[in-house]
Amino acid sequence: MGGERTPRVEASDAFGAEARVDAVIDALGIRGEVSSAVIVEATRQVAAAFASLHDLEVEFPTPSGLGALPTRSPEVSR
Amino acid sequence: MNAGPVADACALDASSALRAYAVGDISPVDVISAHISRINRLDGGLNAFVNLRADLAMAEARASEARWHRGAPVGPLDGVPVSVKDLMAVAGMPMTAGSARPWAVAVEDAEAVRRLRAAGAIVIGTNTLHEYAFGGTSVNAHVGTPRNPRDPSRIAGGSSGGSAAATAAGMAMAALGTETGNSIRRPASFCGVVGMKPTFGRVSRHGVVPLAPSLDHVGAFARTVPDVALVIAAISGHDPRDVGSRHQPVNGPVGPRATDGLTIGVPRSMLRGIDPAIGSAFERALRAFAAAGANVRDVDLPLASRWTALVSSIVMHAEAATVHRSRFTSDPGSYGADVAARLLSGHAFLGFGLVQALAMREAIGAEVSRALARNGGVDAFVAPGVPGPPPVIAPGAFVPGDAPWSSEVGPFHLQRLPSMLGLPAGAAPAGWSSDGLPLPIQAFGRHWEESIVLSVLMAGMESVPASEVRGIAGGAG
Repeated sequence: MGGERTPRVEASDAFGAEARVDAVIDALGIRGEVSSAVIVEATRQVAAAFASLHDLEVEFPTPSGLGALPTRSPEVSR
Repeated sequence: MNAGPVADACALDASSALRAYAVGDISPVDVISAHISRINRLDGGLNAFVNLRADLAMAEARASEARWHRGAPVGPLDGVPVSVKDLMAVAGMPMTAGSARPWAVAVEDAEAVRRLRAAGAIVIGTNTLHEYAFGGTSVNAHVGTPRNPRDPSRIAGGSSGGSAAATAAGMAMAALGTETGNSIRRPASFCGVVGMKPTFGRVSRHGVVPLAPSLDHVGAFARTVPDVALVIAAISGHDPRDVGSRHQPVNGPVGPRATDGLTIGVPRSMLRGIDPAIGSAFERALRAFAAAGANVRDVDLPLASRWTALVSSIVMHAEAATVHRSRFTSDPGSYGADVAARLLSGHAFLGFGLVQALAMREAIGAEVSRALARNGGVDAFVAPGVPGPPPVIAPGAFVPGDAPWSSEVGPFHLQRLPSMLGLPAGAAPAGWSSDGLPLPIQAFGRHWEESIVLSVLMAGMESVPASEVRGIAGGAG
């Protein structure tokens, strides 16, 4: 595991990461029971993941395109 | 390998010990006794074990010895000392899963443990690991951190760190571990032993603390490829209590075979930033494969080389968050900070992130299946086992080559690819550095074709000059 910061993600609230983690803490009912260090690290992971997902476009099959589950090619996805 | 005197019993591999048992050169009592003595001597410094069952193991050794005297071993591993990652139930033993909240004493063995013992193996203890197997270092504040027997200042890797360390240090001839991301191949690579996780579904996970059910595998460590093949064969087989278990022949082709005629793929574009010594040993292995008659060629995997780590991490974290939901919410403070953060992020991926990741997993699987096609594809892929040497032990130490959120092309995707797709995969030392650290390779291949993966690993080990080969760590006796 470990982790490497995705260089393009500088702000911890990129892609709504802070709000997403905040909502999780409330949904689980554990506010005040996890440390700020845990929250910061979780937020960093969510921000980095959604930044990379932003580059990933998955096309789901449709009735007019059966069988298709292609992704945008890596060459044009950035 | 000659059995030699009892003092060398811990340096024997399992296959050699079994041959020695058969002709009476050494007995299971000698071997188990020697291993317990070695654990008592070395494990204070290495911390590969959580709990020992020394008295029970000695009693089982005496029973094994009696069977060998009668010429009636109970199975193909009768009298072989093994250890088990401490998230697999061993009847009569407590289990921690590396956590602060132990389970009650198990009343029955995990299915893989049951099969291993039915084959005659003797469980001598349980091994340290990363907390809940959710991390790559095995740095663990709850049960202690296993140290790398090749250099105790460094990590053994994770999450099955204690299992690899015990095998490398001659404290067990083989060990069971689990792999969800890279948790067998990485510690095998760092500790200089052979590690394999077979095809998803070949070995039951019943009785194993889950992490991410669509990714979790049970596998094995040993010091030789034939020994790993023996253990994998012993623990394989369908189990209706594991919904991921598949019907495949128990005695399927899991033994090594020659590499002559194989086509071996190299994912060259991903091999950036490899440690020079590891890269050099890898290239030497490739030359050996070619010299032995294999067709070695570069293969590009454009989707896998960018998206595997991200997709694997999202699926892993989301599934782990679901598995741990009740336990985590009831006592979040009992979790280490690194694992707690991963569980929180996993909850945030449920929904959009997870669906995107699952779709991409299918696309990557299709790409890799095409590359491994029987007509025109490769029979197996081979790559360096890890990009760099094991890091020095530190809280939260970063593991080189494991950057789960990056979509940059690099070697870390290889750490996750076989486990994400359920492909058989293993790692083995293909050289040794001047300071005694292993220079590992890894291989993976088609579903159910463990034999090809093992043959590649064996050829890689055989490419090492005899003068370079290292034995067990920690000295003889």
